[in-house]
Amino acid sequence: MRGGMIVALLIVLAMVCAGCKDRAEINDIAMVMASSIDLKDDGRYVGMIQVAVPARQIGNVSQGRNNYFIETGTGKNAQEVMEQLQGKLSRRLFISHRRVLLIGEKLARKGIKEIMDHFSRNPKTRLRTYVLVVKEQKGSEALKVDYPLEFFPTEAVREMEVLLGRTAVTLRDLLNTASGEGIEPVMGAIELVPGQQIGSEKSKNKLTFKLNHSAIFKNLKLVGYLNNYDSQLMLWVTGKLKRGVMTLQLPEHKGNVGVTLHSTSREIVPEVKGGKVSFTVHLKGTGTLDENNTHLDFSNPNYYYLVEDTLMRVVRKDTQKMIASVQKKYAADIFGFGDQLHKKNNKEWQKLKLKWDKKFAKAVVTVDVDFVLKRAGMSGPPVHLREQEIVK
Amino acid sequence: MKRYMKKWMKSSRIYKPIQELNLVSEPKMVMNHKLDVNREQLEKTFENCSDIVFQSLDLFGIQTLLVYVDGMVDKKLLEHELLQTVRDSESKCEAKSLLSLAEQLRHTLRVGQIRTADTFDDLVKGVLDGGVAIVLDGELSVLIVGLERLPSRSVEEPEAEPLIRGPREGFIEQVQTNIILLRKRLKTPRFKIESFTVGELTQTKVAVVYIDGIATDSVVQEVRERITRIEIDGVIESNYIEEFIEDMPFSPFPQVHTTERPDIVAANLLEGKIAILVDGSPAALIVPVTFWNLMLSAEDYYERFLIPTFIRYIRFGFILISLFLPSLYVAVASFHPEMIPTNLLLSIAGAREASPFPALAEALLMEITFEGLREAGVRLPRQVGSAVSIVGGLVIGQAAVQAGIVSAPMVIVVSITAIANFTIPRFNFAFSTRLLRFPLILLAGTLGLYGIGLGFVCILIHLNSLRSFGIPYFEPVAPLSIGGLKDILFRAPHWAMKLRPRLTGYNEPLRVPSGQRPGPNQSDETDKKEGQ
Repeated sequence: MRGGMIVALLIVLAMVCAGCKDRAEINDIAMVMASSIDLKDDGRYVGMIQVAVPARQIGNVSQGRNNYFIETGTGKNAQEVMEQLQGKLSRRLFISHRRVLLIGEKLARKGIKEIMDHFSRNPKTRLRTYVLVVKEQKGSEALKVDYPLEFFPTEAVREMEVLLGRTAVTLRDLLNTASGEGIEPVMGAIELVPGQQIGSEKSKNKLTFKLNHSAIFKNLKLVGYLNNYDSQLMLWVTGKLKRGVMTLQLPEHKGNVGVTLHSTSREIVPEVKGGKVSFTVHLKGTGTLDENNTHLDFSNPNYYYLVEDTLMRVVRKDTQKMIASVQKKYAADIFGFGDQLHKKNNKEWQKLKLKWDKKFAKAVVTVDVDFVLKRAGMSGPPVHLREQEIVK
Repeated sequence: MKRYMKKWMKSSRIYKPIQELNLVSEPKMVMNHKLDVNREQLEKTFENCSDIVFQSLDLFGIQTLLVYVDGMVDKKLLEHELLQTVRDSESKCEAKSLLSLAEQLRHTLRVGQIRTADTFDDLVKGVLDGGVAIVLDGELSVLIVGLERLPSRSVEEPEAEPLIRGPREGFIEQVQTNIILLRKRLKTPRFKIESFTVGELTQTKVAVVYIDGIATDSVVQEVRERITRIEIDGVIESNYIEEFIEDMPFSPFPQVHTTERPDIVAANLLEGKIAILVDGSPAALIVPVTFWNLMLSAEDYYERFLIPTFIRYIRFGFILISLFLPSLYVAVASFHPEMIPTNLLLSIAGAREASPFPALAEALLMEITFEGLREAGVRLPRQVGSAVSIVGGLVIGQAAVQAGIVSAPMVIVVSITAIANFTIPRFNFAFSTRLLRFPLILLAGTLGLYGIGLGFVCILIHLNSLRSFGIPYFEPVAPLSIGGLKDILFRAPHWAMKLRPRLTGYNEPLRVPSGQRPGPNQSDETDKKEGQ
């Protein structure tokens, strides 16, 4: 009985002493859905946030008014930016639900090392926030874009990342690759392109998002971009490609075929001989034929082999070219070759790691591809062709 | 505070010397030879008891007095059987026989239970029990003929424990009938009934029933001891007994299984449990009980085993919901908005925007309103019952949301919790989860998820330290008995539940001999075996 009394007393004391300290009622928080950071000319940072307006959420949406609003703050560091923002808000800033963090090109070029600490130190940060670079624009410009399909414009960015499986880099990935040895971070990059939004009123000068490029970082400084096609190959080499699309020209059959890549994987075999590093990249994948603009009849398995051979040849060539250009132009090991060497041959890695950038730039990379075409859709030959036109 | 406690203790002591209220003064009065003296004494005892009938007769030329309670005695039997028989046999009895008249009468009468009472106390008791006392002049002992016919209702389906499939019989207020209902199901001499009388003024019959050989002797002895220990003026309902025999009176959890269904009692007796039937109450008490017993419905055993297995998981889930959902909502909404998926958070935020109260106040408000509503529904006369559902629908519903007093998610949470609570088959257990919900909501509103964890741990510790008549409350999960889980994790088919529960049925563990699993070729196989 006495023990029970003591327990009850402790619980009551805990409730009285510690209770309600961290209470953040839903009506008292400003839910940040997305934010951007930019660099001002005087070297200070500008942060912009997109805050959800709860009263205009699902069920209470009033026509013609946005269900979010935008606020900015400036400061010498992230905390100062946040403080300035907080000064303009009647509710407590709540960044746990931030899904997208946009970085302006200018800041990215200068380097994000000085500002990254805030995102990992703050316990409220969501590590699954997607980090993107806004190509040739300020990050704040992207936050101002109106996108009618989603509740929040930036939600569109997130959905695109998830749906398309492009260079989707979360804060966690970024922190991992930035601190990892023998690997340099990449990030998704969005472009703001003129859109054709007929549905909205002021459709002139409307911008919309386009998720297209991958941003290459070296030492947490933006050094260049890979275009969409090269990004796809880069992802295959890093083993992160979920879905890819290849268009293959078949000149001898006067046309092209479209192939969708599924379940891709890769294996990197490092080799060190007399201080010289070489890598063999085995790319594996399966896919389906989704479009056939030739006259070939795909009920004949020989044409499967033809498409497979073509794809393997093209991918081998393009990948080698892409890797070579990254080696030459940026000398940034975004593929994690060094990491692979570390894992598979630690002895050599320990000798090489201090001058890895140079070694990487000089490494010999050979690529071989193993691809299997699984299906060719519902019909063998194109259905709209006459019998005699079909190449059997 | 302390002073008040002392005062209260003192005042409660007044009721203690209960013996003073005894029916008859202490030294047992012996019957007198003379009828007039006895009659005088009886009339004095039953002074102002207008329901007592004194009927003078002249049997075999001897002054005779019949004493009985008007209405408790079957008048027809009294007239036609008792008196007629006595008159018919008048010629046979001889006044100057070696046997006393009382003895002779005893041999002639063919109705009812006949006892002889030698003391005044016994006489009074016999009369109040519904017997007819025949007091003969010149005799020291009195014949008491049991002709009682007590007012009672018929055997009906218990309203509080309805089933879709299963027997429709329920206990009634008369312990004799209840015992018959059990005897009907347990036709074995091993089904034992021990009677006790509890309550100084009510003299309530309490029957302890069990199956000899299956029930543990020490537990039966413990039940006997706990019942004989009770000193109380009256037992109106079986709860009066329940509160005296519990192991931990301050626990929110029931430690006795109460039911109005004879089939449930019979099934429990077969598992080695002991039931206590109390006269005047249709609710039987079953001991010992475990947490899991209280979560099971009788119907689990009356449907094919797959259905109850599925239903059981639904029930387990909903019991957790009933206990934790409002507190989880409060904790997450006021401490951990980051744990809600973003889109859901936005919906909740939109809905909560207009509500004036913090989540904690809102939850308490709604829960208390709902409890009030439920209590009103129970207490209301049936004719105005529909009024509650109409008004209740307004209070906990769209109107409250539209008025901006509560938020829609909270209404949903409270409704789901209420539905979840109704899935608990035992009412008294459902009540304990309702009771525990409030401290959990308070903990959630002050300490967040940490508070819920704290509360949950406290409940678990309490549940694991609780015992009912020596059986751990959480058995067979803690302490773990793999075989016992057959009836917890899923309801095994009847042919597979081969053993009785480990802690109550170990005297005779085998319930179903093995090898009875049905199948298409079963008869062939048994033929073969027999052939060999």
